[in-house]
Amino acid sequence: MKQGEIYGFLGLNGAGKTTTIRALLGMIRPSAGDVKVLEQAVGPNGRGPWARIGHLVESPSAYPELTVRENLEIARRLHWIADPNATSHIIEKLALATYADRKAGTLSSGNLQRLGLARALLHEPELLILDEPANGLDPAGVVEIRELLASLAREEGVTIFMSSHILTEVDRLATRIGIIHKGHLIEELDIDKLEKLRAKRLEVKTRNLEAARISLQSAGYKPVMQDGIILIANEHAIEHPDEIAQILVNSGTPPTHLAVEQQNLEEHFLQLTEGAK
Amino acid sequence: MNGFLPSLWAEALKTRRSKVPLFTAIGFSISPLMAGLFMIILKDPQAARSMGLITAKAQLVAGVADWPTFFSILTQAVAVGGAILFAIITAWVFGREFSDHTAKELLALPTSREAIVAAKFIVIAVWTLVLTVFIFLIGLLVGKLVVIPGWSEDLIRSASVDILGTAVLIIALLPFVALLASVGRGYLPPFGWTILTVVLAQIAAITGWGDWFPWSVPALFSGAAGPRSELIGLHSYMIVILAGLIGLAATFYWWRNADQTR
Repeated sequence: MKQGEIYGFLGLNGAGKTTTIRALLGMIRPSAGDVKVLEQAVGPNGRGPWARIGHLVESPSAYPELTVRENLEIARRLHWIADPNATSHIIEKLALATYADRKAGTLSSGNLQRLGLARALLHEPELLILDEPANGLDPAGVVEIRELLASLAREEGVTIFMSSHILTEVDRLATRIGIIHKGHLIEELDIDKLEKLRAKRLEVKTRNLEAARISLQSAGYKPVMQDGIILIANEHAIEHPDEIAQILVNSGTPPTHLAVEQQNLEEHFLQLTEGAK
Repeated sequence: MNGFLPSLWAEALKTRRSKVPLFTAIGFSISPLMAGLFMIILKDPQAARSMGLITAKAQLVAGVADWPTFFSILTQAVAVGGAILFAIITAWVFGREFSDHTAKELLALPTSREAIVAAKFIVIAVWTLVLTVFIFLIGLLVGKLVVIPGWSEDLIRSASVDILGTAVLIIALLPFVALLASVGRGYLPPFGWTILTVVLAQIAAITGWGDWFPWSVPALFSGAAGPRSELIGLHSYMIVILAGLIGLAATFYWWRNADQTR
């Protein structure tokens, strides 16, 4: 991973996302090979660049009889952060001020997730390894955390590795995506490929595809035939499908189907994982 | 051992905020109260019968109502009660990290896992010793209130050695409880282990092998089965220390090397 990158780690339930994350954090031994994070070997014996890494593994947890502040205070000391204001600072950043003196055992799952994220961010790590960071958050919380992660990556150069099975979340945030299936990385999509996936296109069907294609081409568009459909990626065409319809009608090949489509990550993901079964 | 002091601070905070210390203090204070009750009964069995404290069938074998008997009962109560209560404390300190799913937050930190385990053991040792001193002081108070004869400074000195010695021997064997709470990731395995060792300790003591069985030694030291010098020797203390060290090493090894899948 490159610095400042947000890597979305996708997979079905049981695909091996959490297992990979636990191996990256030195909690379990890989069945083969070694694990290196930030160019340092990690292992179950506790070796690893942990002062530079923030993590959130599976569902967040906290000492229920301790307050939010006390839970974070423990994390601050175990991370050897000298600044006592670090705890208050992260409480503000994660909008936990209202709950700072509430016992963690009384928190909603969304606020517990915030506490988990606060603990991961407390020591200003350069790499964040997050397992399902949007779990349990309400829609506003999802947006807020997404913006927080995006700004951390963009403005502070924090590298983020996040697993998820919520595709829309990953799709909106990630700059690179890895798809894992049954313990194997089956595809990696970089930013260009992701952009292509996200790109809209105009789908056209007529009774005479070839004639339609020629007339569209002569009108200055770049139609592509694919599986009995004409695809047009031209932005003007996507924004003005009525003009395309006009051209087709005028050339005697009226459209039987005209639709702006966007292939998305979900479709791609399902195709991939279905294909790998 | 990186980060021992922060770990100790964290463990102390977790203990302070928990209700478990209060419950264990209440539970353990039954021992001196029970010893005090025995004294009341022994002082005047007839009055105790008429008050309904005991029935006509009660077998009074404890002896006479005086300070030596009182301390003897208290020490034996520490031997039995401590074995169970100290194990509960240890099971809580280690097992709670798994039942609260917080163990995973202790693994990938600049603070080493060894520091965290060491801090836990220190907290257990301090906690159990404070409890022992606490019930010893309550015992003194109860004894004073019941008004029994035989008080002497020598007796207090020897009684405190008996009670603290019994407690220290129990504490030395707690690492196995910690190990079971860690490997078993919760409370049930250490509780099962504790019941097993209490039963085996009885069997070993009855069959005359108690001096070679670590878990029998604290009760034999307490004087529950007769004069300690006749029942245990240097080898008994050595075997307790050895068992404790093996338990400690195994617990540290497990936290350092085991796969943490939960």
